[in-house]
Amino acid sequence: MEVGTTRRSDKRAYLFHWCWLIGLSKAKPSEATTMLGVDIEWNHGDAEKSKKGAKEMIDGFGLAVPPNSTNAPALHSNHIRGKAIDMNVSWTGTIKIKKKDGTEESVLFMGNVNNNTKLHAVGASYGVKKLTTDAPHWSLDGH
Amino acid sequence: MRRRCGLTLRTFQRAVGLCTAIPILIIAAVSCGRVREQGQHAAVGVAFQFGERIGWLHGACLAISNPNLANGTPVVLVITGEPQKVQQSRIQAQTNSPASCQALMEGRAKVNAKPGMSFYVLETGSIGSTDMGFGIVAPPANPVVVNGQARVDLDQDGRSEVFSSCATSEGIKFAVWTEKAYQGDPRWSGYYYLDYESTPTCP
Repeated sequence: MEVGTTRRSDKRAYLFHWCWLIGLSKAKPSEATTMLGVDIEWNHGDAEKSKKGAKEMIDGFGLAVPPNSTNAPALHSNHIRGKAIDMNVSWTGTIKIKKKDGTEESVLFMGNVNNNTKLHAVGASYGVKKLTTDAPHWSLDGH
Repeated sequence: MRRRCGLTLRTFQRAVGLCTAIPILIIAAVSCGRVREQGQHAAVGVAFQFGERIGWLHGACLAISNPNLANGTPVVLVITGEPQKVQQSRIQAQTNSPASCQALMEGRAKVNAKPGMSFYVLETGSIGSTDMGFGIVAPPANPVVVNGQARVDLDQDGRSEVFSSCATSEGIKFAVWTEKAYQGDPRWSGYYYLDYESTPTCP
């Protein structure tokens, strides 16, 4: 088992969110909220300069800009609340795992963990639910 | 096929003796030769290996399940957007550097660099740093953009393949379909883990 991400920083999410919106002209710098502990000036006094600065942040953070997307990186999530984990789980062949109720489940390894419903059921018995669109993601509610 | 020809020869040797076997050996050799020729013809029309010849890209970095692409290998790009765009590029070098490949940034590499996946820097040309899309290694024909959508018959079955991408909660899902996106099973799909959340757009 290889754990990738657990809790994510809310300050990081704030920076991702607003630089994405301002850099892609989907929000004005004046619309950006402030966040305690993040000392940043979104408004450079000139719309183009503000956009250019935000665009540099998009590039530096490596943020994706899906075509025609209006969905900025999220400000809130289960990761930010500390209620999600991204991990790779792998083994060879079939393993037996105990569910929370003590019953044992034989689970065959599948290359695509999103399809491994038996593994999902084991996780769910402990209150850790699989999001089946994103291979590494598990959380308290599956989102 | 060679084994089947060998067993046939031994059976005949026991049954009718060496003298009879000699002409049969000649016939068998000719027969095996024909099979081998047919095999060679079949190899010419070998199926398009979607897994090894299609990858996804972010900026000038191609992620693909193929460790054997030589520098200079031609790659045709389908850049997602409305309309989709088609560009020509080439493999510049294999890389494992996050400086040249955003998919290998800290936090992303653990998921994106899964076993079997290789990353290549492409000749940049007009690829933008935020461009995303598909790289097709030496396609049998160039994609043509029709009504904003790139189309190309990759497996030469008379039907065009089309390209889709959408956002999942933590990444981008890329897929190649026959004729129409999100209909039936994809011919190929890839997942790019971004290590942050956004609102999913996948149907």
